[in-house]
Parts: sequence; C-alpha cells; structure tokens
Amino acid sequence: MKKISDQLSSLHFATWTLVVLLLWFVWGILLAGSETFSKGFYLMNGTIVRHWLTEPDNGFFLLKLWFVGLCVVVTFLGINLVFCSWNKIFKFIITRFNGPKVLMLFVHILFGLVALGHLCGFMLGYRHDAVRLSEGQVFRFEDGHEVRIVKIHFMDDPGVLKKSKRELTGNEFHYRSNYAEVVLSKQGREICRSRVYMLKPMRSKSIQVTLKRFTPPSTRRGDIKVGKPGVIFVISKNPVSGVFLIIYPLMIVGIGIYLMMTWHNPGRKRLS
Amino acid sequence: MINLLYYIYLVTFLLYASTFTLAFLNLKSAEKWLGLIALTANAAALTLIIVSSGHLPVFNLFESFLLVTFVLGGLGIFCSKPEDAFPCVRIWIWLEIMVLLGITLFSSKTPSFFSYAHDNLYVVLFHAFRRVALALALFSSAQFIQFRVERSRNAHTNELSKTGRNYLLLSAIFFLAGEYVGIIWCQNGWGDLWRWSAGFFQSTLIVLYLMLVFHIPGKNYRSESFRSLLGGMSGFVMLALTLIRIVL
Repeated sequence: MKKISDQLSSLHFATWTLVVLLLWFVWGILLAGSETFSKGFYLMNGTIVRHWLTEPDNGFFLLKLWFVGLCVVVTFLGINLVFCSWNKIFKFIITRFNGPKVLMLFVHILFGLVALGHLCGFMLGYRHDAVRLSEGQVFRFEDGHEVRIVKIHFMDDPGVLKKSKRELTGNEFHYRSNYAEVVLSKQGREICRSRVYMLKPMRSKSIQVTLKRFTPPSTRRGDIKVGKPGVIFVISKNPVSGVFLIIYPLMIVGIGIYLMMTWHNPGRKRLS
Repeated sequence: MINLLYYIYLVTFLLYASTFTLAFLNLKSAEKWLGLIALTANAAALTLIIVSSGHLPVFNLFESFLLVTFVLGGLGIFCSKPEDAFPCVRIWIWLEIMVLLGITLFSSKTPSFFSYAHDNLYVVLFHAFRRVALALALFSSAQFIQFRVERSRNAHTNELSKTGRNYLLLSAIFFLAGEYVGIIWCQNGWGDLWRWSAGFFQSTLIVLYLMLVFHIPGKNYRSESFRSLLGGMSGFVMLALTLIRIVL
C-alpha cells in the first residue's frame, strides 16, 4: 500500500501526467484546427458541457473521446496532487515547519481548487448561447426566468455591424455608448433592470446576461436596411464563477510570495 | 509619422545588431553603452507607436515584439551580472533580440489599428502581461543556455540555474496574471470563464510546459541537465506559441 502511495505522490508520476496532458492539448489544437472538429468545438461552446456530452445526436464521437480522456488525465493529476500534498509537503511541514513549503502547499491546494472550479463550470448551471433578440422581445429560460429587451440604443452607423468584431475600429463602433436595456424577471417579478453593454454584462446572483454583439437591422426599405439593430445575448449561470475569480488571483499571489521567499535560496541542493 | 517609426525601427535594429557584435568581440564596456543607446532607440519607437496609435504597443506582432525586445534588453543591461566568460548570458540575450527583430522583418512595420476594445483595461492587460511574460521567459532561457554551455557545476553555474529558475517563475506569474485578466475578459465578452478553442489550448500548453519545468524530479547531474534543457527551451516554446497566436 505504501509503495502505491509513494508512486502516486512521486514527481515522476506528476511529470509523466503533465507530458500526457501536454500531448492531449496538442491533439486538441490539431482537432480545433480541422474544419470538421472546429464545428464540434463551436457546439461545445454553445452549451454547458454536461448537456453536450450527454446529447446522443450531435455526433463528434472523437471529440467526446478527447474530452473524456482529458478528464481522465486531469483526474490522475488531481490524485497526484492530493497524494503529493499529503505525503511530501504536509508531512514535511508537521515534522519541520518551513515557510516556503507552507506556501507551496497553499499554492497546490489552490491549483486543485482552480481545476475543480473549471470542472464545475463545465458541469453546473446552464448556458444559452447566441440568443437573438430585438427591442421588446422576451427570452424565457430555466426556473421561470425571462429576459426582456426594453430598449436598444445604438448611436453608430448600423452598416458597421456587417463587419466582424475583429475588424471594428474604435471610431466606427463605440462599445461604451451602445447598449441594450434589459429586465430580468422570475415568474413575472422583476429581479433586475440594467443596461447591458459589450464587455459589461448584467449580473444577478450567478445569472449573467452578456451582450455578445449587435446584429444589423432586419427591416428593409428597398436595398437599405432600416430600423434598430438587434442583439445577440449569452445567458448563463455559473454558480462557481465568483469563487473561482477569488481563488485564481490568490494562487498567483501565493506563487509570488513563494518566489520572494525562495529568491536567494530556491531550496534545491546543487552539485558543486 | 509612420516613416519616422520605420527609420527609428531600423536604427534600433542596427544598434542591437552592433551591440551583439561588440558582445561577440568581448568588448564589455562598449557593449553595455551601445546596449543602452539601443534601448533608448527602442523606447523611442515604442513611444512613437503609443502617440501615433493611441494604444499601448501590445497588439500586433511588430509593436508587441518591439515591447518584448525593450523589456528583454532592459533586463539584459540592468539585471544580468557582469561576466568574464565567453560566451556569456548577455550574448544569448542580444541573440534572442536579433531573433525577435528578425521575425518583425516579415511583418508590417506599422502599429495595430485601434480596434473598438483596445482601450478596455482587461484586453490591454491581457496582452501586456503576456508580452512581459515572454520577455522574462527569454531572459530565463538565456541563463539556462549559459548554464548548459558552461557544463561544469560550480557556484557560478549554480547561480545561473537559480537566476533562470527565478525569472521563469516570475514569467509564470505574469503569464498567469494575463490568464486571469483574460478570464475576466472572456467572462465579460462571452459569458464564460473558458472557451474550447485553439487559442485557449495554446495558453494551457504554456502553463503546462512551465509546470513541467518546475516538476522535473531529482537533484542529480542528469536531472539538472534535463531541467536546464527544458528551462532553456521555455522562452522559445512561449515565443513559438505567441507567434502562432498573433499570426493566425
């Protein structure tokens, strides 16, 4: 039993798991680069991964295999993290207190929580991608919630909306001035009313209404489109995002303090 | 303005190339002074980019690599210890700067256009942290390369390895800080902490690579060699992935 425990907590195990994980992501990059599988990743981004994974009709078996494999390798890394933190770091600290080792343990625990936060983000809550709405329209979703667009304010030339987001310049599109006024309600009762801008979503507890982009006006007068632009929303709920956004910087700060503490003495005995 | 930027860029390139030549000829004092002048010219090019474009020089390949050369050059002059050995750490730093400037030869020598989100704090910080992380990783690589070149293990080479490790960890901190603001950007723009895309996978690849360097087991000669090999490659791995991300 001790032999297995030693192996699971070894740096060799960590190294090989990281190598496999690296190769797994290289495979992921190759899949994302191919035309067929990029569509699969698009679908994956459009919903919560739990739904994507359990949906039998969306094809992309290889992509599901890739995702499950990724989870398996990360689980191995997690097992190594737990065993290594317990056997190599924690047991060392209780026999001989050491500041940098405490920091190392802290960073390892936070890293584990960050990875867990990602997994929870894939599996919990919900996500409605590309919800197309115009002024006055309503979108109903989980638990009797609904989003209603009260007003769309667009001060720029709607013609620029034919361009992709990457091509839009600061002079032709003012993202801080164009907005959609939105009301979020639950079972007919208003919970929140706010202006939603691009890069400035509306949040109510863990529900987020994100303005992904404006769409060109749909009403035509001859060859010219008139009327108000519409919007594309992402409506999502991630119950762990708040905690995740606190843990992540703590991990970075932990690494920073660890670096400061070990700047002059990294703690490895070197050959001389 | 664009012509002036082009000329300053050429002067910067020539000055760095001359600095590299002086380092190669082992003329330490002249190398340091010319390096400072090159750094000043580099700063002038960056200032001109900021003034003419209205945004920080962190977006397209040309401006962001000029920022990386500036940070790397500054680290080379102010943070690397003087050495009598030949070759020394600074030679590798000047060589890395030559590689970076060599890559910019194939890009358009103009600042990035002012995209609608180029004044967003998270967007700017995401790119800026990454550029600084790249410069720090390249600085760390220079230490590890010198460590490998010297072969013997003594107090001096141990110092090189230690400096390499410190700056690589610092680079990791900047990279993770970039990732963090990138996550906030993603959350605000796409309503999620993570996207399944090649760009996100490339970033994860860099984080995993850095983790790998810090988790190489053993304290013997072979482990040190392997660790220094991966450490020496880290800057170039980050450079290659950055290049792919900017170009594609």
